[in-house]
Amino acid sequence: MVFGVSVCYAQKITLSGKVYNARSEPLAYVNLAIEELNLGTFSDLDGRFSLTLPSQNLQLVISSMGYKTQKVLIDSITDLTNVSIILQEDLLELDDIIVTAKKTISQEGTSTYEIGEQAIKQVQAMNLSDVLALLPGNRITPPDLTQPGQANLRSAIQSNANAFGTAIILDGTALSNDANLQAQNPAALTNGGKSQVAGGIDLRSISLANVESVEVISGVASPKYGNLSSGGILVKSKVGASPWITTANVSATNYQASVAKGFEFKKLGLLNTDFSYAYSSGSPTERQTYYQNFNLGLRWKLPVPQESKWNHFTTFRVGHSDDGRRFEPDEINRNEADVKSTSYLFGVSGNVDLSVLGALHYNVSTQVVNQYSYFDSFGNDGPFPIIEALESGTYRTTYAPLVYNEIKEIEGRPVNVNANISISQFAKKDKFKFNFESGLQYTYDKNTGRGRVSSGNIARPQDLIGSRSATFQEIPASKNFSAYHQTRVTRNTEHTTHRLNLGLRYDYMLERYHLLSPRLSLSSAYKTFTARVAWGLAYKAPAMIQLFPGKTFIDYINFNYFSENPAERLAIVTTYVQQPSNEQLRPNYVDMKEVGFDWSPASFTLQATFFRKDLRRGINHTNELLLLPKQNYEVVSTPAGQQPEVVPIPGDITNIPRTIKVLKNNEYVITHGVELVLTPPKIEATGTEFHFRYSYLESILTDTGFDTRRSSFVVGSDQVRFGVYENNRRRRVNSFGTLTLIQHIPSLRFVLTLSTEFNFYQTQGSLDRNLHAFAYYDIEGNYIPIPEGEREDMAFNNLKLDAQSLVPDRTPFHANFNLQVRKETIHGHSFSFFAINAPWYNPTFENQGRRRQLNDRLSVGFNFSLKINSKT
Amino acid sequence: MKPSKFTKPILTRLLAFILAVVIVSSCSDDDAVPNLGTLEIQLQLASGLSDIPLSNIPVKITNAIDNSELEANTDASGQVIFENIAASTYNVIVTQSNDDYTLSGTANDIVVTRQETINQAVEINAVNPNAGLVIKEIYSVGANDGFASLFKDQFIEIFNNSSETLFADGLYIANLFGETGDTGEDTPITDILDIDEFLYANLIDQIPGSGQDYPVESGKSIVIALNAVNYKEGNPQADKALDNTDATLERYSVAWLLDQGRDGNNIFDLDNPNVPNMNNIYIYEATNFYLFNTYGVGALLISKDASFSDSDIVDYTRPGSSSTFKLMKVPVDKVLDGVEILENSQAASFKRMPNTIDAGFHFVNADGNAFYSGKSSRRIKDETASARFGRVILQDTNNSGVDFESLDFPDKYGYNQ
Repeated sequence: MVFGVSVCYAQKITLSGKVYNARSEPLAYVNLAIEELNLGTFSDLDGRFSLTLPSQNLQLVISSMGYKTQKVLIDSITDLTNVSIILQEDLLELDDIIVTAKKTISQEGTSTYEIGEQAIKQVQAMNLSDVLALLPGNRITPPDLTQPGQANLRSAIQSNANAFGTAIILDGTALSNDANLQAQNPAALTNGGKSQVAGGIDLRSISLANVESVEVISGVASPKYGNLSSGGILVKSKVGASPWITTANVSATNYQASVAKGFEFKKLGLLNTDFSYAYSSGSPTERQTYYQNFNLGLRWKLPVPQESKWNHFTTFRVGHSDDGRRFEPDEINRNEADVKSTSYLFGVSGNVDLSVLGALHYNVSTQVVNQYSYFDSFGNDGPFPIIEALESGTYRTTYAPLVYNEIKEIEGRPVNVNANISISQFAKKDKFKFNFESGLQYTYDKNTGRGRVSSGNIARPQDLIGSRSATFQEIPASKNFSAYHQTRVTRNTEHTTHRLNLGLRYDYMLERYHLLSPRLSLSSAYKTFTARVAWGLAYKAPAMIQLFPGKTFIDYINFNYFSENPAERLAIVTTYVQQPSNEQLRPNYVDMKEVGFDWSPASFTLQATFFRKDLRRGINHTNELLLLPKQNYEVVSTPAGQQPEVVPIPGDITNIPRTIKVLKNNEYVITHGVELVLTPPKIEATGTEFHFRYSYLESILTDTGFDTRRSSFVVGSDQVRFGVYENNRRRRVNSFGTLTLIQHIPSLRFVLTLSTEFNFYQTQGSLDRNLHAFAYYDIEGNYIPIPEGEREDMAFNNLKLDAQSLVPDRTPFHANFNLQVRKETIHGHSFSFFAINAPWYNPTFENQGRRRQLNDRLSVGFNFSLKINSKT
Repeated sequence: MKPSKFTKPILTRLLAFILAVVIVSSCSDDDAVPNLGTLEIQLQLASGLSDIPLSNIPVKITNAIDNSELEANTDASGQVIFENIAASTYNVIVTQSNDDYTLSGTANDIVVTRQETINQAVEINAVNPNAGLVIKEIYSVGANDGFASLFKDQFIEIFNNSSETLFADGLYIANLFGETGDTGEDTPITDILDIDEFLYANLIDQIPGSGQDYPVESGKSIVIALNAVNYKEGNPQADKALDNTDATLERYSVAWLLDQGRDGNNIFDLDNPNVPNMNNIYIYEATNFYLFNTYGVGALLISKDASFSDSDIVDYTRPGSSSTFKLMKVPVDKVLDGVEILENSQAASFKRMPNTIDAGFHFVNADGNAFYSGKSSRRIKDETASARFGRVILQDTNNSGVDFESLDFPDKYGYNQ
């Protein structure tokens, strides 16, 4: 790993200079980075900087808050010791602005897209979920903050499993949703209010108030990113002094405001602060459901003397979100819900230039989330036998009242500790440049919350996993230890550039699994043509709630005696407690292969990528049959005013069959896709640009488990039986393209984007569905195979499945038009307007006898952004 | 009336013969006087009846000796005179039927003697033609009590329109399957299945009993509730809720379903031990928790002669859909009574039963929403017939559009006196 050191440091050079703004005032805290080396520095209060570099053949990236990022090839600088850099304010009066997602070549992975500040402004993003609309294959949808947002990278089938695999990395800190147990019913992993359990991070909670750029890795991620299986989203905060920047976003149901400022202190360094608040109601005419959040971010850069070559940041973020359902006075029955979450993130990160040893990066963060979900629901399903046993057994019980209010509380406190340390080194020999990066990582996830508490002593008789009280503290922590190494080799000649990334990652997940994930990529450029190929594996550990969902309570009624006199009422019920053992669940993984090319002759770019993404061992539910004995009872005597005396009838035991959901590593999704980005030359005369992005995705989901279902009807004295079926494969294809017209008039500080979404088609259906059971269980639990030739016999008619799912549904071609207009004043204030489905054109199509609308209704919104410069 | 006792005519004939011998022997000197007499019959309405004209009613007399018959119609006063008939013993039979009633009256062993005029009053009874058990009330839309009872308080009431006690044992009640024509429901069942011979039910229950366990007295009713539960108990709006513990029978299917391996509904289906349960005959999976559809009832009362078996199950698949329903066939000729009720008149009113059973529809709330309104559909009283017969008689023209009315609150046992 260190073999090249003697070679490279022989030619060490020093780059130093000063950064100014357009008015020739020196700029402090400007970030000067050499991405290739993972090395960077900041200008001091006088705008001066100095960098020691092993080579001249590198690119310097200069960025600062509010300024347009510049990229300079060091080779092209004539006087290395007295560099003068002038940064332009990032305003619409500049000639070149980028308002779309830009496909980039990045160290972070392959198939990366960068969404810069201008693009974020142009889509009037309120949070991270809005900017993802700029990626190929995604469409702009009206903002709705009352629904959680999840990423869905490279899959036609949107699923929690896919979203869960997408890592969200905020300034180097991977946010974790692994220890989230905030679900009312872990059996279905749903109904947790709006809490995303075993799903991706809720993107609504990630504010963009102080975000410089969002980088999306949809291909093979660098080996430094682990515990992901479906790419990553890197969010990079702004660093730098700035005036007060206030923004306000308003649309039909959403209101958002934010304020951000970078404070520059003489001795105490730099403090970037941002605060945002959002409020949303379910629809313009009701305020019953609402969502609100606030985010406060503090990021403090330690001032260090220029010579020490140490940059250190201390980050503190507080985020609070609240999904609620109010009890309105004119509502008859109380149904309130409040799902709150307050997160505290504290992190330290930085880098040190250790000279001979290379650049050391560290990032240690702790995140604590206080989650509290409250559900006060009106129950009108009484009277029913109250079943609240926590142990298996048969119980005597009585009845719930006709109506009641039931309160459920879930108190969770996921704690995540994330520590990374890495070192990068650089070596150079002839035309080859070598970059070595090695790192160690440790993540710890634990839920220290109190758990689920059901009060009012009413537990419904449904068979819900963990619907009764459960304690989270007892659930063991999830720990992952990882090490990785990546060697990057670059060979540059006059016309060619070859890049080879060889990465390997080792994960020791859940203290059980030793997993290796190679990540390889190669690109070769000849003049304007670049060919790319990449392959990588990535693992994602199961969520804690999948490993420890809590007990399943299965209840049934042996005897029902609902007398008119309450004192005489009696029910005999049996509770069967099943403790699922899910420790056999293995991490799922994705095998990603891609091949592509970029072709960019003068001012024209075509980028195409073909990929195949295999999600394997995804976690899903399988129905399994459970037969439980039900003892019948008879009344012996009925004393007045007392419960009747009952005895079990000897030998009168019937089997109660129940299907329970069991978590398995049975989901396999193969996705084939094509992503295309085409940028024709700009029409210089009018300043008009076009941008076309297209994505074709075909996902085929296979459930390798079997499905067990109760017979659809029972006649006479027959008894039910349970058919065993092969699961069908589900296929979904999306073919979407977006052509964006960008009309930018720098002299007016005006930009208009009109995007036309071509929804070529979307189809979904089942493949080779077999409607006939290949076997069945009778009520005694005997497994009886059905011979191949007899499966379609009338005798098995009640085991035949509905043919509904066989009918594929395919939407016809339709187009959507979205308009975004933004105007900036000379002082940097801006006003913008968007209209989604601007012509208010709502085509419909008919499918299986039902008419469906193809797109959303017209939705408009406004945004103001004011720059309040305290200096003037 | 049928001659159920054989001894009486023989005895009376013997007596008449002896009498005749005595008369003949004692009056043998009066041979010149013809042996003829006159019978004046005056019809009289039996007590309690009114508004029934007795004019122009055929009266038939039968000579008990030679079985010769004479017939004549009454005059305006309800009298008929048979002059110069052979002195003998006569039996009188009066019958007449029209759309409203059937009249009947008899008088036996009237002795007509020579040259005498005998006055005989004959009591006329009237029977309404719609006698039998009819559906009196169906309450299915749910209580207006703040969603506390929901529609767990559904019931059907069966009324005895006849003048004698009938037994409900073995009768079936059924809920008919089929779209009503409400929004989103655009396929009449008649597009797919023919309703001339059979109707299609997704739920059938049978009244238990061995033949005389569930008597329904004349002018009285029995109530079959989904649950014989007092929904006033623990109800914040008890005054708008029903107490169904007075039901004659209740439906309970949890045990039956569990025995089949299916799931019972513990919320909509409770067992009151003091009220007998209906026998469960057929429950299609999706419909195991109610007595009747809330949005459009097609209710049947079926004769105990009907029987249902596996081979009577048919498939129903809507065009464009591939969901298949399994429905039980009900023979039309076994249907005693049927009613089609819709939530309101917005529905396209697809028929699920032929006009011979119900030619119309009853709307729970003609021009509005009826869910959870507490409204109930009750058969109206036939005022004319009730007055005529002196007891409550319900109108049954086989058209629920005129036979039924909507009440703001159910009227369980409301007609029982």
